[in-house]
Amino acid sequence: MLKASEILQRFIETKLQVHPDVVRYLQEQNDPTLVDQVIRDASDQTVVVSPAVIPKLRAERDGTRFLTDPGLEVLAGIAGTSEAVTSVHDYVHYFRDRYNQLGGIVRARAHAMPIEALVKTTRYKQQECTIIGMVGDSRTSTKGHKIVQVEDPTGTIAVLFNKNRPDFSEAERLIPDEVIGVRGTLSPEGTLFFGNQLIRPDIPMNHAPFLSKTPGRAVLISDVHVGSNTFLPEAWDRFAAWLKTADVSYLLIAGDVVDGIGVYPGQEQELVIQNIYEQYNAFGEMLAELPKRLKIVVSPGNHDVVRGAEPQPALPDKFTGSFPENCTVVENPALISLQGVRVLMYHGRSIDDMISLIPGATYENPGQMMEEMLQRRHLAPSYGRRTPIAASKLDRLVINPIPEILLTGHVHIMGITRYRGVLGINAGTWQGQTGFQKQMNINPTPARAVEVDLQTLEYQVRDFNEA
Amino acid sequence: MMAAYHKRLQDGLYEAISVAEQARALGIDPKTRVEIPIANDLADRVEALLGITGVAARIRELEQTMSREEASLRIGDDFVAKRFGETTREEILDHAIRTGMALLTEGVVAAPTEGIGNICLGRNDDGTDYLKIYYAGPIRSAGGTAQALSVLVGDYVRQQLGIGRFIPRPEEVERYIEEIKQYNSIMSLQYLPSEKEIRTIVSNCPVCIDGEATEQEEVSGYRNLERVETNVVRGGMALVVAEGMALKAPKIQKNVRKMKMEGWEWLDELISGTVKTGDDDDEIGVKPKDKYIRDLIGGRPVFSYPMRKGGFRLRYGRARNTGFAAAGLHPATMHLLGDFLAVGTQMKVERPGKAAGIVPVDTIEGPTVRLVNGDVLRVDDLALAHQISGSVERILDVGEMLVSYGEFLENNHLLVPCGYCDEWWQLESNGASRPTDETEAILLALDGGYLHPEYTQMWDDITPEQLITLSDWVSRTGAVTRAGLVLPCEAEGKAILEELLVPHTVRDDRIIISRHLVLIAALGLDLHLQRRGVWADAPTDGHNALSLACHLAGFAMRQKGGTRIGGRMGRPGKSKAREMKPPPHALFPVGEAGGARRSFQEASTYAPERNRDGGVITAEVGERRCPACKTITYKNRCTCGAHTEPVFRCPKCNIEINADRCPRCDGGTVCTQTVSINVKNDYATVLEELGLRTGMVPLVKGVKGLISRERVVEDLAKGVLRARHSLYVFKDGTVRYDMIDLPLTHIRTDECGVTPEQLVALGYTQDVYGVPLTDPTQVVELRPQDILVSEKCAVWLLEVTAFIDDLLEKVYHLPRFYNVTSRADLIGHLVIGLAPHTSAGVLARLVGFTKANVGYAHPFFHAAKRRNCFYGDTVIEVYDYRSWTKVPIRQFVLENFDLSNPGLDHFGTFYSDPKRSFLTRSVDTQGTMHLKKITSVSVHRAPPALIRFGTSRGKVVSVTPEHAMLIWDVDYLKKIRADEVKIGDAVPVYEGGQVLADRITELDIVPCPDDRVFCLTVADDHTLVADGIFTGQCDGDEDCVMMLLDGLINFSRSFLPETRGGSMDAPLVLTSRLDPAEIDKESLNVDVGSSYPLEFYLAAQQYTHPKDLDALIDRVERRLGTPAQLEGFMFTHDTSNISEGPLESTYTILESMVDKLGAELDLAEKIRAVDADDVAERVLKTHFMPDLMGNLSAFSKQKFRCTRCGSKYRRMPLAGRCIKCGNTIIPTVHEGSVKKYLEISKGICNKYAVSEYTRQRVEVLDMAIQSTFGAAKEQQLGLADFM
Repeated sequence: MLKASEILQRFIETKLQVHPDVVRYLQEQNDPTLVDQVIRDASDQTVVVSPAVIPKLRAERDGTRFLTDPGLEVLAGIAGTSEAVTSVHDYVHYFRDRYNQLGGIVRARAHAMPIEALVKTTRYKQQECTIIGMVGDSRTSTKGHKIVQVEDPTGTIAVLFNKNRPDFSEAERLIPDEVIGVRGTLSPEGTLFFGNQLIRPDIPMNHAPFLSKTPGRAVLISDVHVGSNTFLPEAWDRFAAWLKTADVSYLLIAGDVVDGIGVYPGQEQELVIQNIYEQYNAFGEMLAELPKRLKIVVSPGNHDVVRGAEPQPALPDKFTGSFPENCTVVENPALISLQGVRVLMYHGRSIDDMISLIPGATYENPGQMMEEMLQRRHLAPSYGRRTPIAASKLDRLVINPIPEILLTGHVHIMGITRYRGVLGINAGTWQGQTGFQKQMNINPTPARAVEVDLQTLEYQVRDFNEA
Repeated sequence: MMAAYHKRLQDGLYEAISVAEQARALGIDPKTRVEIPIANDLADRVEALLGITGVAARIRELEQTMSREEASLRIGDDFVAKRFGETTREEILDHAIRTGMALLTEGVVAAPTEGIGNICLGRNDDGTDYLKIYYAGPIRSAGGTAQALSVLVGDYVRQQLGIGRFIPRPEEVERYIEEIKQYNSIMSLQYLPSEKEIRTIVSNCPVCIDGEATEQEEVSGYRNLERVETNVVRGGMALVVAEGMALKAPKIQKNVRKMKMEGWEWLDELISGTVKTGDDDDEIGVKPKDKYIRDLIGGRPVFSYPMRKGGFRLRYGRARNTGFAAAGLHPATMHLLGDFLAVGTQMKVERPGKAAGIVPVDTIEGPTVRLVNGDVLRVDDLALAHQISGSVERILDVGEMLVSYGEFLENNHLLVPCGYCDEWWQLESNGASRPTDETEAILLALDGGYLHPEYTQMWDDITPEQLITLSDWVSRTGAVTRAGLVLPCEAEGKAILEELLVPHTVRDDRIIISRHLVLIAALGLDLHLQRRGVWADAPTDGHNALSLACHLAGFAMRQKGGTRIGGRMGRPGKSKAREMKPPPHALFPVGEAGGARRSFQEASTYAPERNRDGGVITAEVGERRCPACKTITYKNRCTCGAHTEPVFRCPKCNIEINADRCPRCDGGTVCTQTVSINVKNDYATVLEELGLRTGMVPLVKGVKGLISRERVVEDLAKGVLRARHSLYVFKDGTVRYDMIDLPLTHIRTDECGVTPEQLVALGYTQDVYGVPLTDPTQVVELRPQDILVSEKCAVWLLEVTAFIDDLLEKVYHLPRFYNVTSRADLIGHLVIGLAPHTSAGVLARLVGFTKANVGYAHPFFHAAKRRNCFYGDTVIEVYDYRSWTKVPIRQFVLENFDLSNPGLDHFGTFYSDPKRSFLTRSVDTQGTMHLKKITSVSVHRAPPALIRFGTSRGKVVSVTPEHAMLIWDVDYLKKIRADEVKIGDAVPVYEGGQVLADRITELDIVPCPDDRVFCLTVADDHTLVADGIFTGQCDGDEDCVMMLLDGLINFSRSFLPETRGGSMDAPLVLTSRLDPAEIDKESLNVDVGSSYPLEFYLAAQQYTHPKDLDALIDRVERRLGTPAQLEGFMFTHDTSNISEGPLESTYTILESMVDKLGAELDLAEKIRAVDADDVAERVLKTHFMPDLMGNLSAFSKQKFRCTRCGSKYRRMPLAGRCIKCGNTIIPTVHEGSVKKYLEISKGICNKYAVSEYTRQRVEVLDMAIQSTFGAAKEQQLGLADFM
């Protein structure tokens, strides 16, 4: 395999700077002639070689969309599609499905062999090869290297990532249960696999988002928390007033629409509406006062009345009686098409887990967590931590197809990122700082809405904190 | 007297030791000498614990002239002078710090050996050296003060040696801040210092407080620092900085000043900047405190709400079986409260402390009840209580609770007014004797005294308006007849009479009050029930009913109600043999071949391959060599008859090294070999040697594998003999029996199953009044090292003595020793008492038996076994969805043991992950707490109960091998330290500071069916003392006993597990003689006089602090240093039988939660002082709903387990079956365990006035459960459904 340093050297020799993505791509291709070709193709004005100059990497826009409804369509997560856990086999299917879907994406870029072949035969000792597997437990060796158990349906092997390798930081960000490809060499004893390169399913570098052909604007919010004594009604009123005049067609709300009951101990002391039905009525009335032309989509979050295990079902009828007709309830997660622009709505419970697992991650920067999700092509990669998962035949938390917009909430801090053409929006909240957040020194960014132009995917943040 | 007593004990001890030495000399055991050193005082214990010869003498010298804290520093001078053979600076530091720590912790906790992982030198950026102390999880057992002072000890010695101060780098300081905060979120510290405080401590502390990795979590910010070896959170470090340095800064400063040490000026800043946050429930005057009912567990009833009328009435005094955290109730009370309180059952109380063991005292008042026929009577007689218990309609008053002054002092609680009682009256009666009837009582009162309490009603409970109403009603409708005062049975009037607790009968719809004179007088009526003239100047405003009644009556009365104390049932008592899970008979490995039961019988038929001979197993055992014929074997005795020695090798270099570390590669050495053992033949040979036939021996069970450093194999014959006597071995080679311990200072022979003659033979020649002992009812003062065990325990001890005799005779070929045939023969034999989590046993003599399932012993005996820190009800904090909740660790453990998912460690101990999700997050580690538990669970202190849990047996967090070695090798040779490296390399598990908690914690916990969980080991209850232990697993007031000879012959350190904490719970030393000055301070607060003075009662009326009355009360502390410190104790209240009352709690007898809850709520509806609706709601909110939510959440995060080999998986393997053995894998959380309390919760919502909020929560949970599992599963379809 080509070494990153060699590739860099080649570019530096020609006085070109190079984008890290290009280096990774070239490594993956493992074709020395490609480097020359890229250098040759770089025009005289080029200072930094970006992925765009790579011949095969020209952005390819996915232009075909079959639209049954020119406006809003729920592509996945229609109410009633989530399933109960019926047997232990569901767990096998669930993780197999995750492995198959994500492994398939990786496989397109790397020719992998089953782990069993490495473990059970002597043929591959000290040879370079590639495996695709799900990450199990990991630890840091006494010398500081990262040792990760990687598992596929045929077997499991320990993979060592050397801390002195340039992309060790990638390995440090490995978290349990994500699916990766590893290129590397089997140790002489055949018990350890030295990882040279780590391949995540990721968004293709040449991905370009679909854009709506017709004008249209959507507003994205989440975490309204009606019923809490820290819900901000004045700010919401300003938002509602603005919506009356704004040129927007869609309002998406990514969960925690009410504060719920019994979500945490002592919650009753922090509720102004202690009755769960009245909380939803109050929320429904707030929606009913919004312009009827708006198409509203509501998905649940961990404070909502439905089960906590993801995928979470849509809000049941007995709580949505007061919701207006122009409101659609969907599950969490749900994939929505707005004039062909796909929005993946996910409440974001897994962000807690990812922040605790990924070195350097903070609540202040939820945008990074969305990038981490996209790189892993999964909304909640780590099983068994804070995010409850209801296993079913298919893993609906896999990010496939690639959406144009990923909308999350949960952490109450706004964060926006653009990663390989995907717009990631964590929409913040409509709740002020709670006692708990104060204690934990979390400073929320409430009362903001993100307005997105579906023709350009340009966005604008609207702040309703002050009149 | 005492001298003779001690001599008898010593003689008995040395007789046993000589037998044991003979037996061990034969070489059948791992070592040829008895392995429990005898320690007579603290200095000896320290020496024995640390194995530093000569240190005891020096400690005694120092203690002559200075305080213990000072001595712990000064002893450092001797180490610096290399008085004890130290050779290197590291060794000096190591010995000095551990010795200081051992002194500070009374030499009984594991902190000095296990709490400090390593001590070494680092290098500052300016080139100077600095001292690093690596604290490990068990440091918690030391308590904050000792933790903090250990740093000071380190600094003291460092200065003497000329080693520099620690100069931290800025990023290291920040790492401390991040890490301590993170630790707090995992385990909840008692006190979380502010960033500023941490910064002050770390940048100024002259010693580097380092630690071993104890958790599973890694820090995310300040990683890969050059001088901080691990990225994992270091729990010991966090504890010492937060709970030691920050919390105990004033203590450190005091010592710094006394010792004139330099470099600690920064403490001023820390202390002045520290905002003292008082306990939120510090009482001012007194207000009702509901803390004890904040977390109600289904099935454990509330007996009295906080300070509510009808609740427990405080009575001051100490009976011969109370004090030392035990409180007295009348046995009739215990029975009428549904038999939930058995002798020894713990009750959570409103004050003065948090919990009290309940014992029967029949010289105080019992409950007052209303029967279904309307009669109201006070029940002061257990027989009467039994007779009427079926017809009790309402419990108007639950009776008195006897609490001693010492309890208030111990808990630092203001004295509160008590109700008027006979002993107080006597102090005010000018020598008058107790009145025999009502008339006499009134006459005495008219003479100027107070009315005798027996005739006084609860005037302080009613309002003046009620009094007037009653007076009018009696005057209008009543008539005085020969039977007494007769009144119509009208509800309003009767209700007031019931509030006053006036006993009456109801016949033919008329109320008859036979003892009515005081009542009539106090109502201001004459014998014709006409208003007397006193009404004319009756005070009408601003007065309470009591003063109005006094005015009307014309004589003085004192309040009878006094302060009411709330209480609910705590942990039920326990008395049973210690068993590991699954319980082995011998520490002999059978591996998988023994099947799930690890039996030799099954192993004998095991064939690894089809056509091989059966009965041959492969096992990893220790490698030993015979010094005589050089044969390599695993047995302790070579076929040639010589005793073998363990052989240590470096696994890398494969050379034999008689040290802990390889000189070539610096790796740790191991003692191991894999051998084939022909179990079938061995077993047959043993049977033959013992003269037994196959049919005569029940299933003999071994262990799966060995986990000690030397992997010593126990002689199989011992296992066979144990199996013959149905005894199970504990991890250290002994057999033990666990009992809750209760204090006792005096006994009567008729209550403890012995005769006066037997006691006389033991040296009890006279009773407490100096009269020769002849009569079974005479009261005798118990000697400090004499104990009473439960009758069940006696049965077990009979088996043990028979086992030991068989062992001596058939295995060691020595004469039988005990020759005990009946229970009575056991009297006078010596045993070893051991408290959980300690490493020091106490010598004791058996003098009697109790019917109750408890162990009764002198408070000193209990105290001697305790650590000096407490954890009372250790509260742990658990993380739930988004916030922290405090739960007593006991409860946490109870609620979170995952019955469906128990695991086994090598040694056969059960553990499980907590099943509730909130707990779960950090749980794993819970801990196992002892230390561990806590660790894992997020604990305030241990969790056990993370869960867990809480409880455990000594498993502690696993440690890197290095440390472990240390532990075992209490011998503390310097070599010991080296271990770390080696094991780490070899076994990945150890690296990186894996937390151990996992294993540990869980292990300890043992669940009972139906949600009752006990800690196998002990733990999980709050120990009084236990503050120190990491986790709360330990049950501080539950101890175990073992026969002396069993300990001496069968115990070996070589059996102890090679994990941190492995030596907890093992009798590393034996204290043969108690010195009250050296035992837990709590026992010094036991009051031992025969009465309290009048000033005391009057002062209590004024809410005086107990310290202010110190001089008035005869306490142990005031006798220290005199012969009276051990004898001449008295009590204020007698009781006729210390085993009277229920012997087994209803809670234990009822099996299903439905039944328990039913009984609890029925009782709640009966008791006037209890609000049944509130009880129902609290149970829902604090037990059932958290359980439902936790299990539901755990279901969606659950782990998986292999049914065959027991491997656990964090998630389902992609292969869909066990990676190790290919077997099917099952989930660990089942639908049934999730839904366990669903129906019962819905039922409560329907039946009780539960708040709408709670009702909706149940509804929402119900929906969530349905959506997770699908609509209620179809019923099992019968054949008929298809036809």
